[in-house]
Amino acid sequence: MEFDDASISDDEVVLRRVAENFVADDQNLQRLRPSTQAFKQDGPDGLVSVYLSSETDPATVAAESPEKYLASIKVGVLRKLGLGVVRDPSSGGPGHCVITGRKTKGRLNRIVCEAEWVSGYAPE
Amino acid sequence: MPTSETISSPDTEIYVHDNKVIDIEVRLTRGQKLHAMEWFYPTLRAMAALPWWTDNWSSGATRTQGAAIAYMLETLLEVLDSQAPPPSVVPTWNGGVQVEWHRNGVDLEIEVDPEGDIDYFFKSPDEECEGRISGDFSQLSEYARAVIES
Repeated sequence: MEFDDASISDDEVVLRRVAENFVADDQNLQRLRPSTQAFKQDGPDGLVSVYLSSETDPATVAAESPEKYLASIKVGVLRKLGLGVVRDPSSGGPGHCVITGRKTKGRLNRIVCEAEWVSGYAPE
Repeated sequence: MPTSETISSPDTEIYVHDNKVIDIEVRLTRGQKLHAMEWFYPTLRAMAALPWWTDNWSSGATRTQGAAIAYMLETLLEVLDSQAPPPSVVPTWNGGVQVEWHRNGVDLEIEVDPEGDIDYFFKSPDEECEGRISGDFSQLSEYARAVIES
């Protein structure tokens, strides 16, 4: 698998499913945000599933999973942290990608502080 | 067929039946008083409510997550002052558990995996660091105090 797909623009927004128990109370930001564990990895391969918002929609992403919430983040933010985004349509359908690279806790902290909840799929 | 098991560590014992935490016993030392610890019961309730999944993620996670909770409780009893606020508690992909505070301009995360390895992340306006704890909890205790003190 390649590390990054240059055909995906920095301005592209990816959607990440977030389970209900992966939400942290951030009093510094004065809001609920995803825990760093929500972006750490989905399994032993260290990859994290996301969906290109330009190629699918939140309702479709949310409907295919028991996870309750959706967070969004720009691909450019991930790249500035030394991570990559590559397409993986074979395992997740249209728009499915994975985030590659070493997800240190410092990098994950920046991701979750930058991530925004998708309207209609945010914790109250 | 429901299964039962008891997960023991030096300071804690957790009884799990049919993938649910039934009983947690904590052995106190050094004059610790549970009722005086603001963080203890909310944290325990949050840990007991974690998903004890057996499929989709790591197989055998019922056993491993119980061990992770035991290790985490030992760690928190070691590093937290009694007036520490309860943290957010989240599961990890491999059956471990993470606790985290984000207050007073400070971020602190402590992650324990089922083998007892302890990783941390600390960020304040003056410092940012992460690493693995091996035996000496003094630095982690200092970071934990920063969660309370502004």
